[in-house]
Amino acid sequence: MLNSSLSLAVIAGTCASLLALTQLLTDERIEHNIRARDARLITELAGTTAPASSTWSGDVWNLCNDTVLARTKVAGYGGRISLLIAMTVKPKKHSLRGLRVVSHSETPGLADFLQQPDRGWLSELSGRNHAQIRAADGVTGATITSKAVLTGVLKAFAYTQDRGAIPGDCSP
Amino acid sequence: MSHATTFSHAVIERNPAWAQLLGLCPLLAVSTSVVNAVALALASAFVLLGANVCISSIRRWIPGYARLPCFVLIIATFTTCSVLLMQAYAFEMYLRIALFVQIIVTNCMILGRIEAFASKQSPGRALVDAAGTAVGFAIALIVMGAVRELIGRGTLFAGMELLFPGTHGWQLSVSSNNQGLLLASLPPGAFIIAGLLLGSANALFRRPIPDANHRPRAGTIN
Repeated sequence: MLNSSLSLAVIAGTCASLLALTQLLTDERIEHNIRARDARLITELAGTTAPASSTWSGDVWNLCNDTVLARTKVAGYGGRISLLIAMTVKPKKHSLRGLRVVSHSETPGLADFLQQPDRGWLSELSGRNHAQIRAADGVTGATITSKAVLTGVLKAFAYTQDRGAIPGDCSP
Repeated sequence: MSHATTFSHAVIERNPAWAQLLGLCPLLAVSTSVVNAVALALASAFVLLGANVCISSIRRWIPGYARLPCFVLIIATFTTCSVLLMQAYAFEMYLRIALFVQIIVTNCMILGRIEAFASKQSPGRALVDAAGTAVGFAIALIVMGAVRELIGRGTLFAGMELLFPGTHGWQLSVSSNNQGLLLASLPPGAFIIAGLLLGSANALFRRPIPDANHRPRAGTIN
């Protein structure tokens, strides 16, 4: 009995150390991957690298030139979908400039379009205003996923409209 | 049995996909494109090889009554390692099939090979058997992925650069308008194509029906 408890403890300990070792070795690279990806998404959406002095104010980021970035999470089919949304913000006249999916746990394959912002459904959303987003069709086979993305965009519109002027360092 | 026979048995006669019908959940869910299929095949192979060899080397110290928790613990360790490694070296790919890499831990194919083979055999033989099983699973996944990508989207090898940097331009497009038969990408298409794969594999590899007196005992997974 003692022997088998001992071997169980050794097996569990070895597994734990193997995990800890892998985590230690990959930790830095994973962090780097996540940061690089976030920076790339923001650059893609903003067109240029965002000014270093400005930053998130809550969940929005005024990139100036009438562009506001918003981050939001919505409930999808398989979990939360984390979105990064760029809007052209003019008084009473919001429109979607671009949209990136930061993370999701939707069904692979059916939700592959979330990773393809430059073509297909996501690209068709660009330039649409509030009413046009409301009227947008979903994606066959991924209705809940695509409706969740639309909800996220509407949430971002509502959030920026409610807050009025977004603080931001727009000095040249 | 020689190593070569063990290997070919694991690939063909005991293939996890078309002979044992194990691991069908990831097989059906991930095989929408070749690149997804290759990524899952690699992750499964890593877990299969690691867990099989590891358990076979320590099989004498695993208490019989607690062997299943031990097996699952070791499989879970290797699965988590593969998740971390994929996040570190193929981040974009990981984001696409994250869920199905995580649930490799519950893949009956892996636990099945460990319980039936690795826990009773030497590490060398366990390695050969695991390699055969991994290759067999990879063949099934990639064939499914290729057929579904070709019919569903009219492309082949799209997005390979997510897994292997420097393979831009590998994509082959068959139809010009980037449209295919959506059914092949959807779950019903997966079942239809898996059924056809199963049928063709049966037609190709079916062993002659044994003599009634020499019928193999039921449950001879080995």
